[in-house]
Amino acid sequence: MNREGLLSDYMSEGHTVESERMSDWLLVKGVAARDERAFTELYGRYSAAIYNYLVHMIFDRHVAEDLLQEIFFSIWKGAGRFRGQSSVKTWIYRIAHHQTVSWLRRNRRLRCIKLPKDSYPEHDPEGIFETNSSHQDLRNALFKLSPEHKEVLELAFFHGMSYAEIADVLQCPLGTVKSRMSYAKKRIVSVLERQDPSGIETSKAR
Amino acid sequence: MNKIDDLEDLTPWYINQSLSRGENDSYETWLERHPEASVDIDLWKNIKQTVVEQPHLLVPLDALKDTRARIEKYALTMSSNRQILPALLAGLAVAVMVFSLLWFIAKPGVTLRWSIKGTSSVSFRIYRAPSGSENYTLVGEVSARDNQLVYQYRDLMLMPERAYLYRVEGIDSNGGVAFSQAVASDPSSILPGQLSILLTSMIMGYACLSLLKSRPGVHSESAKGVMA
Repeated sequence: MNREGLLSDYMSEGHTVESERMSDWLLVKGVAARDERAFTELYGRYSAAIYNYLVHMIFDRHVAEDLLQEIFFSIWKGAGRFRGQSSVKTWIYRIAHHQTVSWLRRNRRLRCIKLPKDSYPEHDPEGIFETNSSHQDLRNALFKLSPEHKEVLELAFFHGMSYAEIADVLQCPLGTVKSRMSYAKKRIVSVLERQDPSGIETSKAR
Repeated sequence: MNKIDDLEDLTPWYINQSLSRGENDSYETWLERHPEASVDIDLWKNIKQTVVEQPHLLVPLDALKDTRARIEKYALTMSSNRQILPALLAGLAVAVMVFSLLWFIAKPGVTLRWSIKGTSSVSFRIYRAPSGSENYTLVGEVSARDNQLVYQYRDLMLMPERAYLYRVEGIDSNGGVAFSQAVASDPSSILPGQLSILLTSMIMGYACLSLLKSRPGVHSESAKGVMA
């Protein structure tokens, strides 16, 4: 069945494009058919998550906004080629991942970010991350992770992805996802121990 | 998947509750046998809390509007390009057709005419050399016909403003060969004809391209359908 057929069948059952029940896949097909309502709905579902992913990875709201536009522009252009081999969610995150990696490469930030102790505000000039976190030490350690290790933590915990979904987004083997996660933890522990030898125990005890 | 080492690696996803039921059960069985792993779980919970405590920002209001504007602009460009390509091809086709037609009718080039006195020749070969040179090359061949005494050959593949020498070689039925005297072409007679045909065909092709491009409503109609 072609995409117009699917959409018309769906619409004829009394659904509206705005319906929450309309699947992501149908929305993408709607975007491929240049349906503005489908595009707006898809944007509404994913833009906030993708925007936060970008800000957390890049630390710059203006760049994140530009990349967000770029990502949804890519979605609009590529919707016709989406074959449903992965979920729409991982497809969109994959586009975001590629855009982020490209931007980081262009700006030479793909290497491990090495910041002196308690220097995260220098890396966060906009003060985006100044919250009343009870895990200041962990937050500092998080900043010192390389983007690829920060990314698996971000996708797993902020975006609630399973390891299979993360592997699909990053297009790498499951073992790589697990090993990156394991390395991220070791790195965090290492940073915590260097910051305050008792800090790691404090952190664990909370 | 249920190897002990693998199960330990699943702790982050046990924390974020994204394991399948089977994996979750296996992990909890493994956890009962490894109570020391609870320290690791506490650390992972703290890491998760730190990640989750990152700011939850709202998307700037203008972002969607800007994205749409970008899409519209792109679609308009693509639409314009899609309209230009057929017009370009049509213009090119018209130019080629006009050029071929005029070339066929006008035949701009050098025409050689010669006559024979008997009918013993079976064919003629035409040789050409740049003026001032003896490097003759075969450019064409004409078969003789019964009772025909006058022949001609048109040489069209010439560079304008260059003089050429021609010689015609007659071959009789016994294999005998007789050469004519060399004759020189007039270079000034070639260029105007070739140039006018070329220019006429280019003008006609361009006129066709302009006509198709300027058809009213083509671009606006295409642009309307971008995000309808």
